[in-house]
Amino acid sequence: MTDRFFLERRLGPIRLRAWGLLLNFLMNAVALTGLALWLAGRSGPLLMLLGGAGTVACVLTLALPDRDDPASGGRDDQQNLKDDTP
Amino acid sequence: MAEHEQARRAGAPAYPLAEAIPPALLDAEADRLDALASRPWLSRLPVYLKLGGPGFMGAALTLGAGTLTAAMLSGAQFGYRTLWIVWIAIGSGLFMMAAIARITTRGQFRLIEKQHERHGLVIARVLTAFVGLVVVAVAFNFGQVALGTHLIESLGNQLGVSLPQSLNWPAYVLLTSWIALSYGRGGRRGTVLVETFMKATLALILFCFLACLLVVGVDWGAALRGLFVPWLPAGKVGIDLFIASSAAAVGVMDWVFFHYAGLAKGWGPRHEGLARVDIFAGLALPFLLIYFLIVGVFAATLHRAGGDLPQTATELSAALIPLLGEQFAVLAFLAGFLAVPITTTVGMSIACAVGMHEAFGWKPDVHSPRWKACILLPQLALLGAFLPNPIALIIVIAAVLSLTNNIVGWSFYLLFNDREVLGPDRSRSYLWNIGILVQVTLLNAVAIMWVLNRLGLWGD
Repeated sequence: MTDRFFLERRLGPIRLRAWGLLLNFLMNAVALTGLALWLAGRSGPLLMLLGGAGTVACVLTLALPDRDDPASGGRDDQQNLKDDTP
Repeated sequence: MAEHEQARRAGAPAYPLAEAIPPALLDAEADRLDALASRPWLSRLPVYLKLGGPGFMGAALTLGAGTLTAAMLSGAQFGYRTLWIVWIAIGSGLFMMAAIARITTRGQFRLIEKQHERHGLVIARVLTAFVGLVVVAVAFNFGQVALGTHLIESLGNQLGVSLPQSLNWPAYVLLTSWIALSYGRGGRRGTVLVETFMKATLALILFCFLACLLVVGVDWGAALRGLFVPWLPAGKVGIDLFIASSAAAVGVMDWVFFHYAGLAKGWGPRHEGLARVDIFAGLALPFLLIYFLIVGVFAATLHRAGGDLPQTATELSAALIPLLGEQFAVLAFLAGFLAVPITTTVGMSIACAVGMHEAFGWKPDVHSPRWKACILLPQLALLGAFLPNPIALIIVIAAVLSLTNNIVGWSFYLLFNDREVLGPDRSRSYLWNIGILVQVTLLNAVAIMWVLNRLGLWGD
């Protein structure tokens, strides 16, 4: 399935989308730990900013929906491209 | 006709509780909804409110003793200034609820079964069904029963009738059990009865708290600033407050309960619009209004009076009563407040039965002794009328929930984006996914802060 949407490709036991959730969790932990250390005066804001940037990057990437249509050989299907935000 | 719709007509409903509903009734309802779609939005609303229900039941679950205590404390401590958090709390929750509505109406499968198939037994049966529904329903019902029976006693005192907690608990247990046991019986009649009870009770809560607010008055300038100008107390207290309040409004029980309540009504693909309106008008709007009214009442009374604040719902309500002045306002407050634990106990009882059946893979049958026993399981909390809250147990359960709610959120986000699960009905919206991920990230933050607290990194 090399033509699958990249977030749906398997890497080891789980898909990239699931790995992305774990990475997001890690970035959230880095951001909050950095925030705690910064507020306690035990470090600068760098760790917090790194975690925050990682969180934003993860959320923006993981939000990409899979719009590929397997029936058309992995190409985007015009019907499925329609955004259906409620 | 959509594929799922054809499948629904051809086979049995996805959830056994909908089996007794005549397919012709569901088809007529779907036709009516289709016909309504071309009419102006306002003329559609009364029909949507009449046909909706799971959203109102979700509001009753969400607006329990815990949420109300948080709202009372927020109003008493900070006045209107933290009201703006409610937008984030309910706003981020709506994206996941809309995804659940999609899964319910178009997926036409039992969520926890599909979760088991895709993400394994631990996430599905243990974390979602058993912890997220059963354990929460039983443990958190202690607070509801303790509050409900206390309020009956207080209401009795105001009316000059002696109704001590030690004697009034059978009335509380009988009323909540009878309503909860009606769910799913007699085709759709029992379900509609419970939903109507929830709608009427939410209206009563709104009316009673509005009456109290009119008596104590509203500082509209402060209220508008609080709603639209973000403010937090300085330091870690503010961050704690923000994360806890914004992640607490809508959680695992609300997601799962809405799904099964929708399936129990036989909702199919043509009910998706109705499901969305039900989430907005039944869950979000009552939550926003009631939260605002409670914060307003406590901002105008205990916050203005200053001094040390009590921390429990019982103590907060007792402290408020002398400040309300008017006897009518006191009675309205007690009656409205009493409706809160009653509806939550009913909702939790049904959620417990659904959760037990999904956790163990049993077929739900509302006439079976097993279903009835599961409905009655949270009534173990009648001990809450005699004993103090099992604080140690609740702390352990709150910790488990803090650490696992986000994992269930990951699972639902993955299901919603899974082509093999939802086919062409999976998420195709970038914005929708961002909304869900914001809520998942807030739930992650709750779990991480719990760990940081234990490591001594987050405390004062």
